[in-house]
This record gives sequence, structure tokens and C-alpha cells, in this order.
Amino acid sequence: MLPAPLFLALSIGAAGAEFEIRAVEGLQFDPPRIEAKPGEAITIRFKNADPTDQPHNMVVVKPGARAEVVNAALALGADGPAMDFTPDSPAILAKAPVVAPGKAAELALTLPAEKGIYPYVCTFPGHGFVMYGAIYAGVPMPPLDKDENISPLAREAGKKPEATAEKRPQVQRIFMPDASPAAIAVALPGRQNACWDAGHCRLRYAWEGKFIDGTPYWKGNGNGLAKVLGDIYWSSGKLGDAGAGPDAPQFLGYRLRGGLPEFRYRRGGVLFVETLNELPDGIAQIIRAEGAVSPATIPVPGDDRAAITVSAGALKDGALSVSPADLAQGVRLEIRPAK
Amino acid sequence: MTTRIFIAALAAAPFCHAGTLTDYYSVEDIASPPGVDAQVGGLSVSPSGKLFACFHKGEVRVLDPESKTWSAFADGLHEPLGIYAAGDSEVLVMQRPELTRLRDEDGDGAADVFQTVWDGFGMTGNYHEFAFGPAVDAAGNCWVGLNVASNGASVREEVRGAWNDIGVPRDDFYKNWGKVKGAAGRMYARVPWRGWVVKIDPRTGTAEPWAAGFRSPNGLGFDAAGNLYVTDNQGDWVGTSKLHAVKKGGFYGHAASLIWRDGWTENPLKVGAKELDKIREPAAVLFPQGAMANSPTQPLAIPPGVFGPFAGQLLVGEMNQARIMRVDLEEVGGTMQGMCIPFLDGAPLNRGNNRLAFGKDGSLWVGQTHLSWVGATGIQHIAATGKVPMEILHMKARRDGFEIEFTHPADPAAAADPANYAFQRYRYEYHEAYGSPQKDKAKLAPKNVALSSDGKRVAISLEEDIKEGFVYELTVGKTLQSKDGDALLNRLAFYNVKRAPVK
Repeated sequence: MLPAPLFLALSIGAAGAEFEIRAVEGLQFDPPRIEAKPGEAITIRFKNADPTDQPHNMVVVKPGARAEVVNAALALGADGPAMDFTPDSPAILAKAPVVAPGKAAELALTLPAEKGIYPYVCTFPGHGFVMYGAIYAGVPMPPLDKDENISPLAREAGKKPEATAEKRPQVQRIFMPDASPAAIAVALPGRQNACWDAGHCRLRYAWEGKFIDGTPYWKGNGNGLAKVLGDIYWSSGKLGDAGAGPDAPQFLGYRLRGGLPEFRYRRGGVLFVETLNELPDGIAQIIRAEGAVSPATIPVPGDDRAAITVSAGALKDGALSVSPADLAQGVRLEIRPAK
Repeated sequence: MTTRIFIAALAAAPFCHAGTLTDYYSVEDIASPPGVDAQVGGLSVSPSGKLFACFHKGEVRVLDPESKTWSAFADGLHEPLGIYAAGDSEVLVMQRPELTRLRDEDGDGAADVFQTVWDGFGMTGNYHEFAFGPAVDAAGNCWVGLNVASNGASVREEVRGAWNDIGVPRDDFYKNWGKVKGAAGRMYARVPWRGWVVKIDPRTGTAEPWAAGFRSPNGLGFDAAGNLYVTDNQGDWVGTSKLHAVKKGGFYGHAASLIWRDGWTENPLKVGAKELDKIREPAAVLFPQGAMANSPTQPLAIPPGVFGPFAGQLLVGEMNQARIMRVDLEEVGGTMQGMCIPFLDGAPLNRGNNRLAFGKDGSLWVGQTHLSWVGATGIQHIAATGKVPMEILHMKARRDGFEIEFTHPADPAAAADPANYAFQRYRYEYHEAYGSPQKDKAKLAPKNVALSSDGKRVAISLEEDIKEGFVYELTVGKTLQSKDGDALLNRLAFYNVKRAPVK
């Protein structure tokens, strides 16, 4: 998420303002724009804080010259690397070299006396088309979401999020909080939702309300978790690592029935089939297994926020013991928020 | 007096036409499926000719190229970065967590079954752990590449797979990350098979980890003879992006994945580059950073009858530039090596060329993406117009230089002029640090240039014998043209010398 616009003037003195502008994830500058006075001598500390291993540079140019300088940088071709991808152009007011991730460089410039919007841009090949911001010198700044002088992503961040209609039922594999990395988010038709863990082959938590917001994961390259948009009323709690050790269950996949998943997994040599149903006031897990020769133990951790009922077997200390006959019929667990 | 001579001189010189991309290839923008963030993770043409595409948020959509309409095959996958359409009802997809078989069993055009074919590899939840593939060989085996983790982020509390204790203690990943991230390695592989290429039999789900030493192998493909080629991206341990001919048991350079080798006990970061250099297999082709590519993607063999004389060579996509490259390989001293040169370069091709697939009619589908890097979105459709450009068709190494073969006979005046062949050679360092500058760089002038009688081949002798471990960059002069007056469409080529020929 981009922070709110920060005009990070570190100090203002006789020498003029000092700013820190960082290259951040998603080919962005942070802050996306700064304010200074025409004719002012300023210093910019340019830091490459991009966690995705990309080098960046920073070039400050005359008003309106951003596209021209970006194209001139591309035209450097094989000469580009030696020149830090910065062409010899009279439109350039100041420049920082290409800076490796984690490193910083300084730019010092005296802004021209003319009021104007002075773009700063990364001219590393390809970046300049989206990675830019602006110094506003004596010109009023429009609202962030209408500012054409900052990158499209920064403009988007300035917009209020739209309410989008949710598709239900829905199955979405994505990084979910409090689960292994192999997580499956399930939206049932009404207001019930579940996180099912394909690493552990079991239900991790259930919540009521809206589904998930996948933006923190999708907006970049996966460095984030989806956000649960509702009230969790039951959770398995923390578990250890998934899929390690000889007793680890094996996930076999799922079949869609009416848009909802029927999970298949093998545990202790037995093939389990598990589905989730919606109750008016909670969620039901139906777990079935054919050909079990001995009673199975299904983990059903208690949770103070929930009341759990089971259709068969003995539920004690967070584990449900079920006979092979009951397993073949299918055992039904109903989980509801406690009153 | 002077004017008449000037005009006479003009009349004598053949008109040199500098062609553009669209003279030889049509490029059509394809409308993306509605409601989809059109970052393409995979493309595959089914036997019936339909284009299957998978996208960033997990959608699989199918394009009927005749009606140009999209239909929905599946949703909800986890960052699929490759797809293989065995038929219109069955596809294989490599997602972050697993290789999955999607099957439409009730014939309604959408998948009902999402069967886990193989998930026997580790995931720490680190964002950089992408999973690429499958490339499917002639026997039906699936080949995938598993990206390593980046120290731009740590690991999650619950991981999937066995944790390997070699390296920074796991506790420090949670309690002390800021202090230990350097020691953890710029990229790390603490759960199984990260940084490996793995072979999977999709019929049984059994997997065979095949080769180690990869960083970001965002591209697997086979040549016409069925040999596996895998690209990798510049970064730590990778001086510049590259293409490897991958063999069983090989180590291809990135140190992190070595800890999963049988019997391996040392921290590879402590073993050091000098020792690791002795066991690594260098690349077949290098893509010089900035000049040629910054992030190569999928290698794909050009089938016969499609792009004229280029059949059998490889195409390789590139993210950073509006470019798809061509690779021409030869065997020298028992190893594969060769040249890379732009094939499709510049507008109207977009950036972000992530996935490639040939249609049944020989046209090329290109899928584009960006994630948090440079790129584009959507799909472009490319077809040869039938006119073959003037190009460097082959570049072959000789003891003291190179032999170039053109697609058309060259006009002798320029083609026999040594001044039209500017070479420089340089090498990239193998070390832990991110990328390598070009080292031991030298410009080389041709000592002698001999054009064959048919004008198609030029033998160039350089002022020194060619050296192993060096890239030779060739820039051909602008005046070189075919006998019909067509200038070279692409004048910049790079040949990687793994082995110097003895003659």
C-alpha cells in the first residue's frame, strides 16, 4: 500500500530543503510528489528501497520533458549501462546514478526561478513509463487521484476504493493469514466463509461477512496476504509445518459441486472426502471416508467463540474419534458462533 | 559538373531499404477476456487449435481464434505461471502450490475437477517462490522450475515441507531478520527443491528432482531434438541473464539450491564462488544485461514451415523491452553454445513478453505480464507475412573468428568490407554478488573477411583467436544489405563461447 503523500522535508535552512525520496516496490517513488520553492537550492537523498532486487536511478528534468528524456535514455542502447542510462540532455537538471537495492545517492539542484512542475523519473530501461513523480515549485497540487504528473499506481492509491460485488460461491487459492502457504479461501453462497488448508488438509477458520480482499497479495508480486473481511468465529489455532514427516496427509485436490469444493485427501492410508455446507448461522463440515479399518481421529480444536456439535463419534479434548461405519456414512460437524 | 556526378553516383548505388518489423510480421492486439487482470502466466494451444490462457489472479480462459470469443474454463488458481492444454477438456497448470490437472467431466466447458498432480515441494510463503512450467516433453512428462526465496522478505511461521538447517538458524528468520538477512543469502532455498528443475510423470504424480542451481527459471522449453533448455535471470550468482542446456544432476550456478543435493552438508555461501565454479555448468547462451535482455522468459522452438529459414532455432521472450529474441545453437567441443539476436524488436510489439505459443496455423501467440516489474498486459498475435527479412541466420564459431550466414545473398560491396563487422568481446564474473559488469572488454577488428561466391556466407577472421568464457558482440554496419537492397533487420548479435573450436 502506498502511504499518504508525505512531503518529507527533512530540514529547511539557509541551504534549502532536504528531501528523502525512495524507490519502492511496484516501480514507484515514495513520496510520489514533493513541494519546494522556485529558485530554491534543494538536496534529495535518493534511496533504492525496492525489495524486488531492481536497480533504479533518478533524473530531475525540466517541465514537460519527461517523455523526451525517457526515450533518449532508451535510445542509448548498449551504451546505456556505462552512462547510468542517463542521456546528455539539456532538459536534465540533476541526476543520480543507478543505485543498487539498499544503497543511496544524493542529488543537489537549484530549482529554476520559474514556477513549474519538475518531473523526477527513473530512466532505467522500461521503468520511465510508470516510475515518475514531480517537484511542485510554486504551482498548486491537484488532488492525488487527479494528478497526471505522478505515476498511475500513485493516482490509484489516492482513489477511494469502490465497493465491488462479490461472486458467491467462490473458491480462491491465495496466501491467507494464519494458514500454511497452501491455503484455499471458500465463499459459501450466503455470508459464511472458510479458510481450508491444503498443506494440513483441514479447515483452519470460519468467518461470517464478506469474503476476502486479495489486493495485498495481487497488487504486486505476492509479497502480502489476503485480508479476511469478516468476523472469525472459529479457528484451529496455530499448527506446525505442513507436509513434513511420514504421517503428513496428502492433498489430492477438489471437485466443484455447485461452485463449492469437495476436498479429497489421504490421511493414515485412508481416502477422505470433505465438503463445507452453509448453515443459516454457521458452517457445517461433512467428512466421509470409505474403507477405514480402524477408528479415525479428526482434529476439532475447541474455540471459545464457537459452539460445535457433531453427528457421530466422541468429541473430547479437541479430537473427534469416529468409527469406520460412521466415517463411511459421513460425520457432520456444525460450527456456530457461540451466543 | 558536380551535380551530374552526384546524381550519377546515386543512380549507381542500389537503394538500401531499412525494413521495419511489420514488413515481415503482422502484430495484432487481442482483446483480453472481460473482467480479468490480463497479466498472462501461461499460454497453450490445444490440439483443436483453441488458445488456453491463465492469468495472474488464477483465471483460465479459452479463446476460439475463429470467433475471437473467450470462454471461462476455471477460476481461483494461485498465481499460475504455465499451462498445457492436452485437450479442450483437460489441461495441466503449474500454480504456486502445485501442478494441477483441470478436467471438464460434465462437458459444460468449465473444469469440475482440480486434481493435485504433484505438490511434493516446499513453500515458505516468501513471495519470490514462484513455480514455472510445465514444459511437456514428447513422452508426456512435465518439467517445472521452482524459484528460490528472496531476502526482500522472510518466511512464514508455518511452512510447507521439511526445513533444511544448513544456514542461518530458523529462529533468526523470525526474531532477528534484519540482522541476518544478509547471511541468509540474497536468495535462499530452505525448503525442498527450490531452485531446482523437476521432472514429473503426470500419470502417476511421481517426481524426480533433475538439476539444481537456478534462481528465477521463468522459462522451460525443448529444442526440436527434445533437449531441455531453461532461462535464468540476472541476480546474485548470475552475472547476466542466460539460457542453459539442462542435464540430469547438473549444477547451473545459483548456490542456494545445493543444500538439497544428496549428502550435501556445507553452507554453499561459505564454500565460495571459486570452489563452486569448479562444479557448475556454464550457460549455453548469455543475454547481455541492458543490451539484449534484462529478464528472459520462455524458450520455444520454431517449428518447420512457420518462420521460413528460422525453423529449429529457439525464440526467447523478454520482459523489459519490446522484444522477442532468437537463439541459434551449435555443438562445439561436445557442448551446446551459440548466438542470441533480436527476432521481433520494437513497436507494435509490447513489453512484458512472458509466454509464447504457436498456433496450428504457424502463427505465434504472445502473452504479456508485469507483476511488480516492467512489462505490459494482454495478448498479441503475430504472423509471418511471407517476406523473409535480411538477417543473420547463423553465426558459427571458428578458431580465429566466426562464420556468418545470411538469409539472403548479400551485396558484395558492403558484405566483404571488414569495416562492417565491429566486434567486442567481454566476460561476466561468476560470484555471489548481484550481476557482473562486463570484464576484460576489448574491441576487435577483423583481420580478414571472405564472402562466399553465392554471397550468403561471410568468414571473418579476427585479430586474435576466440577465447573460452567470453561473449562476442557483433554490430554489423548499416550499409550491409541483400542483393535486393534490403538492409539487415537486426544488426546486433551476441555469441557465447563456452568452447573455442580447434579450427
